[in-house]
Amino acid sequence: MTKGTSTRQERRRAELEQRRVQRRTRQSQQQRSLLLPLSIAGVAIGAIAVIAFAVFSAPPAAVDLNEPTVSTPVGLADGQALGAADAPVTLEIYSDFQCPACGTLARSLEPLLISEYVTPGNVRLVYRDFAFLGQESIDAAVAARCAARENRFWQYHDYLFANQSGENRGAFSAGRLSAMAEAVGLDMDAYRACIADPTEAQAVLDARETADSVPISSTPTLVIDGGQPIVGVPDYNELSAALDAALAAGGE
Amino acid sequence: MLAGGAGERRRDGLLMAALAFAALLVALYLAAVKLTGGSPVCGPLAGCDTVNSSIYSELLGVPVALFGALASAAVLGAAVWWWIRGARWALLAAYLIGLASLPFLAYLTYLELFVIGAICVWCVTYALLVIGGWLVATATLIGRRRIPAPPS
Repeated sequence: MTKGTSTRQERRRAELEQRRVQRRTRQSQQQRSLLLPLSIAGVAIGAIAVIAFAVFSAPPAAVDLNEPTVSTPVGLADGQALGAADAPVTLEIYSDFQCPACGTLARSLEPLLISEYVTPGNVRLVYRDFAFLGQESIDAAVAARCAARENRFWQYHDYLFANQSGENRGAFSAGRLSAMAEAVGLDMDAYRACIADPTEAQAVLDARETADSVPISSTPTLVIDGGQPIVGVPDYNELSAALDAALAAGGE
Repeated sequence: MLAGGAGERRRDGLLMAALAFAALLVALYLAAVKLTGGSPVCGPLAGCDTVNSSIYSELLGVPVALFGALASAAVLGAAVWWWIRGARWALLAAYLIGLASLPFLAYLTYLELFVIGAICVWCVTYALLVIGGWLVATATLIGRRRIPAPPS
């Protein structure tokens, strides 16, 4: 009896073991049949992630910039000033990079002024920010100040005025300002750090307040040796006469 | 009860969890550096800063390292679950997340080598840790499919 019971128990155990192995074999087969499609799905998800990443992180399309038609000689550049520090006459130009008349002044009058008065050492030109036409005016002024940190303000100034296109319509978007920074050869890491530095934006706002106190009410406005403001784009001969008069007065 | 035994499962689970944890730390470090605007410590090797400040270091304004941290956290959870509970789905999840990460890691390495032109040692370390964890998961999965032959 005991031996018979023991045999039955052993048989029962063997049956249970066999069922367990069969169950695991079935599970294993199920796993095997699932693993391939799941693996394909996993690789597909990874590939979709790559495609999404490639699309969304693609570098911006190349920015199409106008090359400046004038090129300010930068040998005498001193930040936002141009010309000898001891020049007898100082000509301040209050300007907004978005203002079309300022662009006209920069492209037509400034080259003449520079060749006839600045390069000979008679006049020191000082660019004064009067950024009043909106956010892109401020952004452009900040970017130009960042260029000034590397003494490339005047090259940047030429690029800005060559790329005017309406007001606050993207001509001076961050991407285009950055492209101009690259075009004039700025250290782009330093440029990005400078753009993010709130002190430059504050300096632009402070310059506006200072200009208000002159008082400046529109751009461009020119001031010779702190005298009476000349509003708008002057006739070159009249401006030349005023500068000659200032030089004569300074020479006395 | 388990192919290779519970001891083997614990060993593999622990190894997967350790690799996922290390990967998580690396990804969190890179994400923190990116979010705080700092520079990763790169030792004598250059390139970490170049890679971490490139346009490819973020996706829609979110640091890419943060996605890596999420994936590694998920693998870590699955590995720990497998290690402690022996749940088959957890092992499968660790395997699949690792597998889905591989094309992405390959693409990022391609960008480093051929587009950015700089190698970030942290990124390479992260990739190796993920690949290591995936290999362990794969080996464990294949090992579990080896069923002993039924007694004759």
